[in-house]
Amino acid sequence: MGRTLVQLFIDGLSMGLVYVLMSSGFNLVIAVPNIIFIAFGEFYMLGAFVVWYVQVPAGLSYFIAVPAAVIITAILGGLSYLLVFRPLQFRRNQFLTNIIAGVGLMLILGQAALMMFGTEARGVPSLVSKVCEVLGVRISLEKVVVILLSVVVLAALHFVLRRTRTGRAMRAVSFRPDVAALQGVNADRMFLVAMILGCALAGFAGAVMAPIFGVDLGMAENGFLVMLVVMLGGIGSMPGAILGGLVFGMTLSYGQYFIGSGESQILFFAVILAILLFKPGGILGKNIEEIGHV
Amino acid sequence: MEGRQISRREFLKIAGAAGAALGLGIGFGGLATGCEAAETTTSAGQTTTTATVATTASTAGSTTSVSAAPAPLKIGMILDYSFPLHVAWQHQMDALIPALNANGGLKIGGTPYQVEVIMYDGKRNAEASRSAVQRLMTEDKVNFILGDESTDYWQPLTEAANQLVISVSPSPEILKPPNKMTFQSGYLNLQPAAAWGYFSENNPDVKKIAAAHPDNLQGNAEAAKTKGLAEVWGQEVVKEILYPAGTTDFSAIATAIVDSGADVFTTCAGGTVSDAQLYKALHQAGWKGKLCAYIAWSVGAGSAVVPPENFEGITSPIQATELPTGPTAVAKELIDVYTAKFGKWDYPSTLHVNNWYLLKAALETAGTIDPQKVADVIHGGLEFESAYGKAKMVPRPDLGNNLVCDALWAIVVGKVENGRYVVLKEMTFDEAYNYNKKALKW
Repeated sequence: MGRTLVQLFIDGLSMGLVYVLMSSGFNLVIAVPNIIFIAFGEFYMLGAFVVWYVQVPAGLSYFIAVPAAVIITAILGGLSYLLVFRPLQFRRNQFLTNIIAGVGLMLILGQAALMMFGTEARGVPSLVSKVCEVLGVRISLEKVVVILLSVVVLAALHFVLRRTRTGRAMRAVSFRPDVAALQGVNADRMFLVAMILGCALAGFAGAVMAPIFGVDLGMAENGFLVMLVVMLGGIGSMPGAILGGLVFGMTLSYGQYFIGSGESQILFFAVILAILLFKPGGILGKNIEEIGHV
Repeated sequence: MEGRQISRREFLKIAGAAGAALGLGIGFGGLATGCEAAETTTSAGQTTTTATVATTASTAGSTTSVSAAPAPLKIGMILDYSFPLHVAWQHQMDALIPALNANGGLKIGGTPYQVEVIMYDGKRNAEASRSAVQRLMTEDKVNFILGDESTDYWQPLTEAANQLVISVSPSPEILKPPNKMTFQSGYLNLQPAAAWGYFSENNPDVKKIAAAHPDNLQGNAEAAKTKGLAEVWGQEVVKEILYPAGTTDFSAIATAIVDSGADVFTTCAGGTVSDAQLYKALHQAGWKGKLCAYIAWSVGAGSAVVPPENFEGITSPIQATELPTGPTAVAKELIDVYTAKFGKWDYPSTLHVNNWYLLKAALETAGTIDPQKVADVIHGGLEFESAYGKAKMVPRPDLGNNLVCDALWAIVVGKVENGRYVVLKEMTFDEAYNYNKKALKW
C-alpha cells in the first residue's frame, strides 16, 4: 500500500502542478485587470495545438515548439485585451459585459480552432517516454519533466511579481489602479502585461501537457476546472493558486484510486463547497468584494 | 478604480462593443457550422463547393446533388455536426457521393440514379432530430433515411410513414417489434460477442477482467455488456471503472487496474483519445496482463495519439481499411476518394458510413427504389461489404424480433505486434453467428 500511496502522490503532483500554472495565469488576469476570463481554457488548448503543429507537421524540435506556444498565446492574449477588453476596462460596472465579451472570445477561438485543426485528436511525440522504477514506484520521466518545468516557471513568476519593477507595478495596480497611477504607474499597460503573462502561462501549461495527454479541442473545457481551482485556493491569491492546484491534483489522484473516478470529482466539488461556506473568498483569498491582490 | 455615472450614450456604446464581441463569436460559430455543412454541387463530373452560412445549427444542412439528373435518389441523413464520429461519417459521405455521381451514379435495376444527400444536424437530441426527420419526410421527401444514435427519438414517425431507415445505433429498442422498416448496420451490437468469444476461447487462462468505460449512456451499456460476456465465458470482472467523460489523466485509474490483479484489460466507448490515453497510462503503470478490445481498435488513429508501444499486444477486430495485407477493394475506394477530397487518410472511424453501404447493396440487389421491396431484400438476409468489412443481416431473437434487422460481421481478429496488426483469425458468418448464439442465447 505504501508504494501505491507514493505512486498516487507523484501522479497527483504532476497533474496538480499543471493546474497551478493555469490557476496562476488565471489569477493574474482576474487580479490585475479584474477580468473573469471565460476564454482562458482556449489558450490552454491553443498552446497544445501550437506544440503539435510545430512538432508534427512542421517537424521542428519540442524546444522550439514550447517557446512558440508561449509566444503565440501571449500575443493572442495581448490582442484579446487590446481588441476586446480594453474598450470596456476603464468604465464602471462592466462585470457582466466583461463576461459576455469573454464568452464571445471563447466562441471565436473555439470555432477558429475547429476550422483550423478539425475535430480529430492528435498525439505529440514525447520528449522522454521512459519510465523508471524506484522501490516499486513507477515514475514516468515525462511527468518528472512537467514537475520540474512547472516549478521553474512558478519560481520565475514569483520572481517577476516580487522582485521586478513591472511585477511591483502590477501588484500596485491590483490594489488600487488610481493610486498606482498617481505614483506614475500606467495601469493600462499593466493590464496588458497581466493578460499577456496570464495567457502565456495557459499556453505553457498546454504545451507541457500536449505530449502527455495528446491534443484535442476538448482541452478547452479545463478552463472551467481552473476557475474551480482558483475559487478553492482563493481568487487573486498566488499561494492560493498553488494550494488549490495541488489539492485538486491530489483529490483526483487519490479519489480515483480509492473511491472511483466520478466520485473523486464530486468529492472535489464538495470540498470547494464546504470551504466556500466558511471562507467565501477561498482558502487563502479575500472576499469577492476585495478581489485584486496578487 | 473610482467609478462615475454612466450616460445613456456610453451605455449604448459599451453594450454595442460587448454585443459585437458576442455576436462575432456566434457568427463565427455559425460560419464554421455552415462551412462544415458546405453545399456541394456535382454536375457531370464538375464539382463546385460553396459555403453556406447557417442561421441556426438545427436547420443547417448540406446538400450533395446533381442538378442535371432528372430524378435524383434523395437520401436524408441525421447526424450531430459536433460529434467527431459523425463528422467522420459526414466527410466520408462528402467524398463518396460526388465520386459516385461523377462515375454515372448508382445503378439500380439498370437505371443510373444520381444521388442527392440531404444532411441535418439532429444534435443527438429528441427535439432537433425529430424536427429534422419531419423535414426530411415532408419537405425534402427523401426516399430513404440514414440515421444515428438519435433514432429512438424519431423512429415512431418513420415507422408510421413506412419510411425505410438504416441506422447505426446500439440501442436495442429500435430493433424490437413491431418495427419493420428500421435496420441497424453498425458493428456495436453483434461484434463484441464474436471478438470476445474468440479471445476467450483462445486464452482459457484469462479469468479476471478489468474494464474501464466512460460514465455515460454508451459506457454504462458497454460495462453491462462486458459483465454479460464475462459470465458467458466463466470470467469475472474484478475491477470496473466508469470514468467521467473528458478525463485526461488516467494515471490513478491505471494504478488501480494494475493493483486489481486482472488477467486482461478492456475498454471502449471512450473514443480514440481516451482509449489511447488509458493504454498509455496502463503501460506506464507497469501492466503485465493482456489487452483486448472487442470493438475494432485502429492502430493508425491510436498511433496518432500515443506511440504504438502503449497498445502492443492488443487483440482486436481489424477494420478492412487497416488489414496488414492491405485494404479491401471497397475500403481502398473510400480511402482514395477521401484522400482526394481531404488531402490525407487520417484513419477516421468507418462505423456510421456502414449505413450507406447497406442501403447501396440493398438498392442494387432490389433493382428498385420501392422502399418495401428494398426492405424485403434486407429481410431476406442480405450480405453487404463496407469499408469496415463484410456483414450479413440477421434477426435478433433475443429482442423478440425474428425479422432480419441487425448486422452480423465476419470479423478479422488481429493482434498488434511491433506496432502492426497480424491476423489471428478470419471469421466466417457462421462462426460469428455461433459466438453470438452462445452469448445472446439465440
